[in-house]
Amino acid sequence: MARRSREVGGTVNIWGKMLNIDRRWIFLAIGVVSIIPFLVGIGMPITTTTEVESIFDYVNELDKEDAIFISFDYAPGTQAENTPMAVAVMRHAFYNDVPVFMTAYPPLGHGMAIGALDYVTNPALSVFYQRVSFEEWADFREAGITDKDELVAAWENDGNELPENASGWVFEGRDFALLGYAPVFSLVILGMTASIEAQYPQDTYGNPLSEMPMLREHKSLREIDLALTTAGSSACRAWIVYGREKIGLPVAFGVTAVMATDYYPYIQSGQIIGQMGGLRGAAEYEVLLFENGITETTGKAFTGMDVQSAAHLLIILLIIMGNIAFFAGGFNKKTKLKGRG
Amino acid sequence: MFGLLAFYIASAAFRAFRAKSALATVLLLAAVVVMLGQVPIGEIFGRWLPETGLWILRYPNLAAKRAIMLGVGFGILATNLKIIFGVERNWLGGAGK
Repeated sequence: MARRSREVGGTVNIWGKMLNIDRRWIFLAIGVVSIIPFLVGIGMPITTTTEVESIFDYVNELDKEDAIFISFDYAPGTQAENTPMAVAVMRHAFYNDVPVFMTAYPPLGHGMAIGALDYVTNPALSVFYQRVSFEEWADFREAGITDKDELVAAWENDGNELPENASGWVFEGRDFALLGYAPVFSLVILGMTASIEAQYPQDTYGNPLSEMPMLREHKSLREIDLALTTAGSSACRAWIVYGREKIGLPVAFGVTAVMATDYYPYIQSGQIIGQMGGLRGAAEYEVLLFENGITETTGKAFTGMDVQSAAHLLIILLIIMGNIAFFAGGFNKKTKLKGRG
Repeated sequence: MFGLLAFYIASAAFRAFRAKSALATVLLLAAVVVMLGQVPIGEIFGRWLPETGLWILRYPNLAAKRAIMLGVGFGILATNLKIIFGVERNWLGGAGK
């Protein structure tokens, strides 16, 4: 370390040592501040913004006659940011009995969709929706019982009991359809403006869409009330180009924090109804769900915001320390640093 | 995988983010306000901080992004017109010969 500090213009002083600190110490500091808030659970309050409130209010107005798309337009690299958004909106839709179509732009998004649905319907969690597969309620479907309220009543009269912690029933084909990935997805969106079934004759599990009540009531994107694209790339723009601009489909974005700044023009122009930006956006949606009594607790995004708070604060402290050392050591005037970071 | 960025951003910010000029100082202050405004801990410093951060995102950021998008759009349009009218022929090959 002493030898390295001399590299800063040949000066050996505290400022030179500070500027040439081994970057592994910085990595360690980031690692520590990222782990501790998860263990301690600070739970700092989050104020909601109009960008997220507008999505929440829009979904809150929907009911069982409507339907939404949640598109998993991201890969595992941005899962930590995007999945909580999709999970929050899916829970909200299920709470209001709004049918949810799930699609994926990249192949890996297919797995993300399966993961999010499994998470929302996981009986091991304290809050979940009890999933009923397409085959299980075939008799009711064939008997013409497809209205959600009538279906739940008939299902429970048949001896099925909702588990204690479950928030409600979700029937495959009535409350959700996992359509998944299809190649050249921007053209798939274009095709779905005419017919969803033409693009997806079957869902991920091989169930024919033609037999699904939610498809019979919503045959194309023209009959869909909202498309939420949770994206880790510019894939979300395809929903604007082929959905919003072609047929006036209401679109909402759930994008990573680094992408969020790119899409503010779309909010102001009215092309999207709102945007969840990064983990913060997902956390805001979780807070809105909690404050409106839709969920009993906040979720992973809310917990993750404590980590972000600590990491942002540390980065800002590092910037301040770096600037103090740079100017106090006089490196702005006479020396050229040999940074190794 | 995406989270790895935090480690490298922290290291790079420490070494490279300097208030060397007036413009760099403005950029640095805007970054600090937006970074703190986007996380709950920012509210400890007062409501003005997240509100200022949002204002930066909603107005100056929006204006800059829109200017970039328009610039890219006009650039694409101009290039297309040059190709259509035969002004730009390099795409046919043989450039500089």
